[in-house]
Amino acid sequence: MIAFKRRHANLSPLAYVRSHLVAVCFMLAASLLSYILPRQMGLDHDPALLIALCVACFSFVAGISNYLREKSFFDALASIAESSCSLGDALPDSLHSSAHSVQASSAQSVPAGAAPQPTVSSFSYQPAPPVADPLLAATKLVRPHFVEGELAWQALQGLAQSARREISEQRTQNAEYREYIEGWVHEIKTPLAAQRLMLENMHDVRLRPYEQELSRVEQLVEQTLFFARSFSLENDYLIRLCALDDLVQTALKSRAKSLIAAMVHVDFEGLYVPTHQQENFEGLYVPTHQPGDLEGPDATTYQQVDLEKQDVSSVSPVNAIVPKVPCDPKWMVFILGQLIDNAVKYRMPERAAKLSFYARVFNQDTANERVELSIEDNGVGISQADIVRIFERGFTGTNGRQTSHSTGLGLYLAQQLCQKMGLTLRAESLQGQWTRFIISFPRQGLEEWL
Amino acid sequence: MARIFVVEDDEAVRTQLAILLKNAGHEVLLPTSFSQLASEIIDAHPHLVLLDLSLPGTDGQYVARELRRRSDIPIVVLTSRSSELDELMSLSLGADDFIAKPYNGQVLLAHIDAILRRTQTSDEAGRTLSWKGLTLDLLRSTVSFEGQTVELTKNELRILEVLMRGEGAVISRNEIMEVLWGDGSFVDDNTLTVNMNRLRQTLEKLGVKHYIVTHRGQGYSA
Repeated sequence: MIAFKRRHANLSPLAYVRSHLVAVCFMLAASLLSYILPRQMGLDHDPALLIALCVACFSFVAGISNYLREKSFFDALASIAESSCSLGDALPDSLHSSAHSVQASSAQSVPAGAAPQPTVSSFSYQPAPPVADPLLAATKLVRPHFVEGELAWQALQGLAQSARREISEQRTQNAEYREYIEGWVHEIKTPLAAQRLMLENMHDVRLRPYEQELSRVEQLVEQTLFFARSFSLENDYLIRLCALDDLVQTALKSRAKSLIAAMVHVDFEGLYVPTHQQENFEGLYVPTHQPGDLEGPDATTYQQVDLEKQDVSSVSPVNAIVPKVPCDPKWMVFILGQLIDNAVKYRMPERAAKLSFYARVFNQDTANERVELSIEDNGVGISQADIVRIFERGFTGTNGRQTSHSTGLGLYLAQQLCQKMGLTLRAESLQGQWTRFIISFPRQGLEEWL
Repeated sequence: MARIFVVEDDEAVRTQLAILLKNAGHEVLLPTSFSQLASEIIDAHPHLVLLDLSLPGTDGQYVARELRRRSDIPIVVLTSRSSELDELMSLSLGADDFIAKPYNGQVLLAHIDAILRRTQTSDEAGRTLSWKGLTLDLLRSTVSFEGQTVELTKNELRILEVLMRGEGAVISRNEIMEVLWGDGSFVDDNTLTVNMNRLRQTLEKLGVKHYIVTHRGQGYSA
C-alpha cells in the first residue's frame, strides 16, 4: 500500500517528451543533418533550410500524432491506477486509523475563569466515500490501435479476468461459509434450548451459576450470527417503526441476569416525552399504552392498574408518549444488548452502577429531523486515545485489556449494523465519570415507513 | 389448566417442554407421527399448539397453514430462526405468537397464559396454584384464603407465584427480580423490598401471617 502512495505518472506532453528523449534527439539530429548535408553539397542557405524545416515539421507531426494516439489509452490507464490506489486506502478491514476520517474533539468550551475542566472526548465514525471500481474500468477500456498498447491491454484484460474469477470464487465461498455459520447457529440453539429448560426444570439453587454461563454462551452464539451477517452484501433486515421503550425493555430483559447480578440501577423514564408536545410530533409518536409489538399484547398492562394500586416500580407514562423509530427491532435489540454488556463490564466498582436511556428530537418538523437515543452509564469511561478506535474490529483498548473477556467485536458489530440500517452510532465519554452512546435515527428513512 | 399440543422433533426439548408445562398445571399432548400432523392435532382438540417449524418428514409451515385453514386453535411457533423476517413469515402463516429459541421457560409460560386469556373463557383457562392453604389465581390475579379473596398487583402476583411454585425452597432476591424483569417491571433492590412489604401487608388483610419467611442473606420462601 505504501508503494501506491507515490505520485501518479501522468501523460502530460512534457512527460511524453522526457520519456521519448532519445527519439526526440535523433529527430533534432536528423533535422540538423538535413540542413548541414545539403549545404556541404553546395546548396544555398534557403533551400537547405527549407528541407531542414520540412524534416523537422514531419518529425514534429509524427511525434504529435503518436502522442495523441497513445494519450487517451494511457490516460485511462492512469485513472485506473489512481482508483485502485484509493480503493487500497479505503479497505474496510484496514486497521489503520487513517482509513476513517477521525473526529476527536477534545476542545470543550470552558467558561472563562473557570478551573481547567477534564476534557470530554467524543467520536463518530464516518465511512470513506465510495470510489470507482478499477476492475470495471479495466474491463471497459477500449482496445488501442498500436502494438505496445495492445500488449498492455491484453495483459490487463487477462488480469481483470482472473481477478474477477477469483472474486466470484471468494464470494461463493463467503456465501457458503456464512450459510454454514447461520445453519450452525440455528442448529446449536436447539440443544441450548434443551439445556436451559433442563436447568429451569431442576429448580436447584446450585445450578444458578450454570444458568449464567449458559446465558453467556447464548449471547456469544448470537454475536456469531450477527458477525456472519455483517459481511453480507444482502440487506437481510426489515425496517419498521418501533417504539423506543419496547426496544429498550426487550434488550434489558435479555440482559436481566447480568444487570441484576451487577446491581445496576436502570432508568428509562427519559424515553417518555410529555404529552403536551404531542400535537407537534405528528405521526412520529404514539402513546405508550398501545400494545407493544415486541412482547405480545400484555407487555404494557400497567395502564389497566389503577394508580392507587400501582406497583412502585412501574413507570407511569399516563401523560407521556414515546418516540417511534425506524429500524429492524431484532437488530436494534442486539445492538442495545452490546451497549448494555459494555456498561456492565466497564462499571466503576466503587460506586453504584447506573444505566439511563433517554430520547431527544432534533430539528423537529424539518427534513433533517432525527431522534437520538442515548445510553449513558457512570462507568470507567473511555480515554481520549481510545475513543477514536473503539468501533474498530478487534480493538480492546486499555479498558478491554483489564478484563479477560473482551473480543473487540461488540462495538464493531453495533457500528456495522447501525450503518447498514442507515443509522449512526457515536460515543462520548469523560474518563472516570461516564460513557454515552448515541444512536441517531434520521427522519429521511422514516418518511417511507409512515 | 389447558390442553397443549407440543410438536417438537428434538427429543430433549420435547421432554423438557412437557415437564415445564405439566409443572405449570397444563395437560401435554404429543403427536404419534409427523405424517398426519394437522389432522391429529385437530382431532385432539387442544387449547393451544406449540409448533416447531423445522420438522422431519413434513413442513412446519404447511402444518401451520393447514391448521389455520381447518381450525381456530391458537398456534405458538417455536423456532431457532430468530430474524424479523422469520417472525413476520410465521405470523403470516396464521401463528398467534412467535418465540425464538433458546427461550426462558417462564417467558414461554407467560406467552401461553396471555394467549389463553385472550382466546378462552376464563373458566376454562383458569390456572391456579395452591400451597399451604393459599390459592393463587394466575389469570385473575387474585389470592384466596379460607373463602376470602384479595386482588394483587402485577408485581405481587409474580412474587407470590415464584414463592408458591418453590414450595418452601429458598428463592434468592436476584431470582425474584429476574422474574419481575421478565414481566416488564425493572425493579432494583430497594424497590423489591418495598414490593415484598406490600405483599406481606396484602396477605395480612386475608388474615395470613408469616406466610413468607425471610432467610437473611439468602432470600425468601413460602
